[in-house]
Order: sequence, then structure tokens, then C-alpha cells
Amino acid sequence: MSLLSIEDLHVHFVGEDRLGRPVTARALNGVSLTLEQGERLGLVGETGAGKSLTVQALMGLLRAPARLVRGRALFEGVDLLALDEAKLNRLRGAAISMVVQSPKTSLDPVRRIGDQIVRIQQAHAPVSRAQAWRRAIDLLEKVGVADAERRAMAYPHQFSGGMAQRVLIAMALANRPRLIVADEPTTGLDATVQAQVLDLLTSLVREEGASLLVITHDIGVVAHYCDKVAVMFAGVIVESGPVEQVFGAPAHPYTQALLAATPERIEAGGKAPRAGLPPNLRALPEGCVYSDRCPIADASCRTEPPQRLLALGHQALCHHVAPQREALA
Amino acid sequence: MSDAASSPPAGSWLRTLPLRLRVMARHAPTAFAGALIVGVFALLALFAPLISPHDPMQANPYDVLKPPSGQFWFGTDGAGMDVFSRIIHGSCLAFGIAVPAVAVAMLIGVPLGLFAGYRGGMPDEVLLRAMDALRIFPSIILALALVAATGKSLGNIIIVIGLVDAPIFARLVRAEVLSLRHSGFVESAVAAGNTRWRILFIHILPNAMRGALAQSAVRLAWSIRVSATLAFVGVGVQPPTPEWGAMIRQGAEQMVTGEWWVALFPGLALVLLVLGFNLLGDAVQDWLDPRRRTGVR
Repeated sequence: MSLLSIEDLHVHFVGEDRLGRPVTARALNGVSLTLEQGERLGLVGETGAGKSLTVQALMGLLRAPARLVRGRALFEGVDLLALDEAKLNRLRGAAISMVVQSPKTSLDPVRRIGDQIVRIQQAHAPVSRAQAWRRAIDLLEKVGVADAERRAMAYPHQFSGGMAQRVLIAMALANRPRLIVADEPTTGLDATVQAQVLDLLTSLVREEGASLLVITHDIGVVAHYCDKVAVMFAGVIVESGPVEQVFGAPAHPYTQALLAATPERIEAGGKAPRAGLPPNLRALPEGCVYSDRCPIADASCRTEPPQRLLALGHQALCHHVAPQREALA
Repeated sequence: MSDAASSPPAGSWLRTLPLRLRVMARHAPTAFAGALIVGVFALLALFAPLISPHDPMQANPYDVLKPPSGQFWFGTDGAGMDVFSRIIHGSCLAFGIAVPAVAVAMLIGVPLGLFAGYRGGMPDEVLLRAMDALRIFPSIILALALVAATGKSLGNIIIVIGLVDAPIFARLVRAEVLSLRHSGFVESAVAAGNTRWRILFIHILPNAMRGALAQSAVRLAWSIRVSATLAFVGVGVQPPTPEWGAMIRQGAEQMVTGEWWVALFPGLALVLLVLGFNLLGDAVQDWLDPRRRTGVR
């Protein structure tokens, strides 16, 4: 049994246009991914691809106009999407925890840092304040906050972005989670701090034996810190697999374009691919969601693309993946 | 950056008070002035029986309408009562009405705003419309009508002023809650598995209260004004109880005949205390922002 297994997740945004006619934006169109114990999975894709939405659905954070249409998200065999709020509350923050983007706004401005780490423990277990406070100091030391005892008394506005992100990581680790979800954990931090935070996050995750699901649009981050990668486009995971296989031999035209667009490849003389418009979620093409932008699309792409298995764990959702590569599997 | 943690232990609060007052006087003179005015009136109210030279309700037929003198600093009124003593005792009543009235307003308004803002939907709509309906009436006229209808007892006056003022707090808290409800840290608290009640009371309420607390000084000023107005038009506290509004009304009759001191001095006291609370209110607004709660204060 996988630690986390998302199956055929569909989320729509339902609203009205100016004339009051219902409009549906199909934001997630059958997301499926699995994550094993101890694995680090990177979820990449352009803005609007549905990366954050997938995670929000997982954590029960969807709110109108977003609507869960169908799908399952099995965490250790339990469908998170079917749990009631009380049962979900027992899991989130404890077995599954989240590190969000914009750390500065994710801490309560009127409560001391240490107090917030105490409270996340008390929300899940009947620990004494003194005990929880000691663990809060330990955690702050673990995430590299110098002079932790004194800094635990400080308020969030007295922390820099990088330090606040470390505090969030400490909070995420507080209840010894088995899965940590990080939604663009380094947005808004400068490059050296980004590397520090990611090094810290991945090493602590490994130390705790937890699994990591990290959302990013930085392919370098995935290549460096993850075991597996899932590439998302228009609410669909178009290609997924072990990092070295997906990045070494990208099969889906979108993954190929994404990799060709990295600054390193363009500098090395590669031709920057045509960017194309972000997909219109209100009018996605029939069949393959990428067919409007795809350079090799043909008539067959108007039908639902098949899931092609290319190698162990490496799969792509495309009509035009070379058949001989499929045979290798 | 390295402050809150190194803030001095609680025992030295009193020791550093003179220093901090000096710093405050230099850096925030208006706040200092407001605090000074309110502080002085509060002391007057607390020690009224000790300070006032005469009995405020002792009519004296031999000393009617005496001008200010060494014996009667602010003169005497039409019944021969000492105006200075009556003003001192009047500050007692000003605080005694305004503070409970604002407490009543917060007790009604804050939970309503909290509930409406967090719940949203139909209850929110209903509450908003009810608040709008209340705001259609000028608040002083409304208070006047309600007091006239329910009776002139002190308790009624306090409750009515609080009731008329409650929508202000409800709207304030509701607006804060609306923006807090979808803020990053509340979202994080949800993702961390906190129950709705925990989030509402531990994270949303303390943050939403900031605006309400900052407003409280201004609302105290307003309550003092309204209670004086009620007394002035004759539906509030009744003479001979030393209430500033009632005193101004009595004095107004003597104004035309040249005995200016009966109305002028309670009027000045009223203006001064209202001004003090307003200055203080502005300062509190700044101070309650935790981003400014750093360094020496």
C-alpha cells in the first residue's frame, strides 16, 4: 500500500458569467499520483496547472467556488476526501503536515513563535505546556534558529522570511508527520536562503523517515532534491516517474518543452521553445489537454490520450510516445 | 530585531515608568497629552470625596450664584452648590456611565461581529441589515427615545448607550474577521488540524480585537458625550446629581443673566475629557499594532 495515492481527482471552479449563465473552469482533470514511504516527489508545472489546488484538495482546504467533483486521495488506505472534518483534523497537522509559501503571513502576528509551536502540539496531543515548550526549543534548534530559547519569545514580525520559513518547518515537524507537503516553500526567498531552506527540509525529512511532496516551478529544485517527479499541465499529470528517467529521457512533448526552456539549455545553444498561452480551463480541447500547444499534435490527439508505461514507474500521457520505448518496459 | 525577548522583567515596569513617560512625552506628545488628561480625570473620579472641598449636593441658600472666589473656586450654582466639587464628582459619573456602556457595547457587538464574519451567508446578511436599520436613526436621537421609553435609571442609560454603540463594534470586528478568515495563518491553522472553535478563539478573535480595542477610547469619548447630551435635554441623569450635562443645562438658564461660571466650567471639563479620550484613542490605535511593539516604549 502506498503512503499516498491520489486517484482520478477532478476539481472544478463553478461560477457565473455576466449574464448569469453557469461557467465551469475544469481546474483538475483526473490527477493521479502515488507516493511511497520515504520518497520525495516534486510536482512541477506552470502557474495555473493545478499544483497547489491538488494539495489544497488533499488537505481539505478547498472552498467555494472550487468544487470537488470526484476522485480519491488515499493516505495509508484512508480516503482523505471522504473524511468528516473531525477525522480529517486528527490527521492534518499530525500525520500529514504542510509547509506553505509566504511564511511571513502564515504565522499568527499576535502570538509568540514558541507559543505557536506549542499550540500545534497541543492541538493533537494532551501534552503539558512545559513539555511542549521544551520540544519547541528543540525544534527551533533543529531548524537552525540560533539562540532558540530567546527567539522563541519573539513575534513573527521580528523574523526574516528565511527564518520564518524555518519556523514553519519546525511547526510542520512538531507532531512527527509521515507526510510533509511543501507548497512552493522557497517562493520569495533569495537564492542562497532557498538552498539552505531546501537542504534543511530534505535532510530533516530524511532524518524523520517521512515522505515529502514538494510543489515548485523550479525544475532545478526537483532535479536536486527529489526522487520522483510529476509534471502537471492544465490539471492533468502528463508525465511522471523517477527524476533521472523523466529528465534524462522526457517522453511527453510538454516535458520536453519545459526542459528545453531552462536557461542553461538555452544558453548552451538550444532553441527556446514557443511558449504558447496558458490553457483556458473553461474551454479545454477535446482529448489531450496539451494538443492546442503541442508541435506534434494531429487528429488522433482529439481523443483521450493513453497512459503509456515507458519504464518502471515512468509513464506519460500521450498518443505519440515512441512505441519501441514503451516496449522496453 | 532582538527586543521582545530581552524586554525587562515585570518587576522593573514601575521603576522604568518615569523614563518611559519622558520618552513618550518627547516622541508622542499628543498621546502623552491624552493620557495625562484622562489620567487626571480618572484620579479626580477615584478620589472625588477626598479632593472636593464641599459636599456636591449640599444646597446652601446663603451662597446662591456666587462668582468664582477663594472659597468657591468655580463659583456656586442656582441652589448654592459648589460647582468645583460638582465637577469633580461629575467625573465619577462620566467614567461610571461611559466605561460600563462601552463594555456593554463590546459584549454585544464583538460576538455578533465575530459570528457574522466567520459564518457568512444568511446570518451575516441579517445582522448587517439590522445594523443598517439601527444606523438610519441618528444615534443620539435613538438613545434619547430608548431612554425615554425605558426609564431614566442609571442602569437603563448605560444599557441604552451600549446598545446604540454596539453596531460600531460589530461592524468593526466583522470586517476584521472577513479579512482574517482567509489569511495565511488561519489557512495554516486549518491545515494544521485545528478545530473551528480553536481557530476562531485562539487566532481570529485576538487579531480581530485589535481594531475594537483601538476604537474603545474613541467610543468612551462618544459615550460621555451622549450621556451628557441625554442629561442636557432632561432624559438622562437628573439634577441634583452632579452630571456635567445636567449642570450645563442648569447653567444655561443663568447664562443670559450673566452668571457664566455655572455652565462654562462643566462644559470645559466635558470638552477636555472627550478631547483626552480622542487623543488617547489615536495613540492606542498606533500602539496596538504589534509591528510597532518594539524597542523602548
